[in-house]
Amino acid sequence: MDIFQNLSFFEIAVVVLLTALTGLAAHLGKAVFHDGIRPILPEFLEGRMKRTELASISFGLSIGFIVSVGISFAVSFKMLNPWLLFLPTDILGVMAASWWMAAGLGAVWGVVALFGLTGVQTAFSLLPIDLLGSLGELSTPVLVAFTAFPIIAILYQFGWVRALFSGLAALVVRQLLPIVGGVWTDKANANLKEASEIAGVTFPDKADFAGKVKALKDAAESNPHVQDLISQATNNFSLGSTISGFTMQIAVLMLMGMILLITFAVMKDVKNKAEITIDTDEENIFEARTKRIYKGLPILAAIGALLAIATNLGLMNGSEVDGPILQQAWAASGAERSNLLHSAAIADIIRGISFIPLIATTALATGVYGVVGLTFVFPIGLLLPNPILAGIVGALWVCLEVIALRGIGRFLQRFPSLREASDNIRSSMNSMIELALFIGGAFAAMKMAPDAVGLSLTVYILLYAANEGLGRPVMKLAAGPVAIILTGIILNLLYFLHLI
Amino acid sequence: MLRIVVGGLKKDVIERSAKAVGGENVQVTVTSDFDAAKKVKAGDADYYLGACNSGGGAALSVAIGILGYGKCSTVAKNGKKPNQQEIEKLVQDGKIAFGMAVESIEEAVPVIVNSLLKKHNL
Repeated sequence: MDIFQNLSFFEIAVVVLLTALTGLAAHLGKAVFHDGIRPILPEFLEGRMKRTELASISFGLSIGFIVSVGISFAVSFKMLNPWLLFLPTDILGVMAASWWMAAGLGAVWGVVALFGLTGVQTAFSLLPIDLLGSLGELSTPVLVAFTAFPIIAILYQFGWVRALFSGLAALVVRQLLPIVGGVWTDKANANLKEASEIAGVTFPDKADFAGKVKALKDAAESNPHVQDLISQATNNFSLGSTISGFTMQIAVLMLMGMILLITFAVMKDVKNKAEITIDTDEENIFEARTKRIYKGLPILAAIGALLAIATNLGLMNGSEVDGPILQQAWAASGAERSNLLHSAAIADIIRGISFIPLIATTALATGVYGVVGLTFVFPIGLLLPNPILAGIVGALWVCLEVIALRGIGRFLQRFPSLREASDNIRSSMNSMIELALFIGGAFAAMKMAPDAVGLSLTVYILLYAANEGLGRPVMKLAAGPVAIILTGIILNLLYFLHLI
Repeated sequence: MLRIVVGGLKKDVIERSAKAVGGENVQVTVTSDFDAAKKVKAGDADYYLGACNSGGGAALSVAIGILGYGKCSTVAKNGKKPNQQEIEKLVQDGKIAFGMAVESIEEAVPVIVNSLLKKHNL
């Protein structure tokens, strides 16, 4: 969906209301987006820190993220993202002197972000060398990198023997999928053959599946048995192609790696059961803080609903893992779009699982929740068929999350290896996305200037290397996207100067 | 000997850097942020090192919750190089948990560990 040319009033209202509420939530100390500001808020709420000091800390922690990740991801994936929207509302919210000012500044930021991005998109689309179209290339390596997350995490935590075993197991499953899919495709062809014999139709030599179905349908319109076989064949065929499809392979590999990682972690903790102690002091702190979060439920649920709606409308993405896939998904249509949306949702669910220990623990220890909660409202928005349903389920889901927090905390105390596994998934996700976006940037550079591949690649790699040499003023995660956007601008400048 | 616990992201890199500088004088334990912070609080470890993307997020958030904000400090934010004088001052001020951006681990950890060794005359 090209949101930037045809923003409806409803869409603008969703974004503005969302940022107003997140600004308000930060001001009231109910929820912030930045994991680092959450533990500092109690210092302010309990009077040990001044508002100005808190504001300057939030600014310092967030500005790098807003500029490098927030802006470059928004331009690359053509969507708003949490870093761009909610890191500024964290800062504005804690800075504001009153609640209505926090909500007002938040709303203003929503407008600035939405229309600022629209403006940038419009400006870029006028350029002679296509910058925005090439950015789609960022996604392919990211999709492949997903399959490696859990395996690399196993390597970090359990050593190379288990990682090698998991890697091999994943490869075997990957190779098996097309075979399993082939069984269904064969069934579909058998159905068609039977139908063609009944109907007395012979297919042209090169007819593909759709062509055969059409020929049969035309030939035997009134024969219910043939029609029945055709519909069986169509079902079997779509099942077969889904199973052997690219997105399915990625989803299955990712889930398999996760299951192995979790199994290894649980096995370790079950073995060491006697050594794991449960701290009662901690229980008491958690109890008191949880009550604080309950009080914030209405505003948290409203934010959850708006997040699910905004994601469902294709206005925003939720994480570094779903952005590249969603960009392709909204550009595609029909079955391809829904397949990509499912992949993005699965990627987000796995990312969400790996963030549960961090978000739940900081929330329980501080009494301040995350504005995007445990991040599952994003897959909810992606999977549900319409914004209204997404909104309702999003709100209910956030309530469930908050109610489940205590239970999650207790569960994690019993399984410390799972907590460690979550750190390792986040580490490996970080490394893999950095790598994938760097490679994707090179693909984009090649697509941008097909007649001057050497030049565009050189510019891209020089920019990337310059960032490394300068001590990484741009975060590594954003270095690929920032370098490729700059490369596009430089190529356009050279074009205007008649140098290419 | 300094007992250092490591939590957060890229723990293996922190561990390697800390061991490379500290050698025999440090004992490095890699664990989860939560466990690491609890160890420091219980006196089973002396210092906490952690990294995340911004240097102040996941790196320290659990440590701040458990040890208190006054005991923790971000020494290297993303996009900024770690500063030796600043780090030495933070160490002398008695900070016990240090957070850094994943990009600066290899630069920041040696400075932190050296300052700690200096403080303890090791």
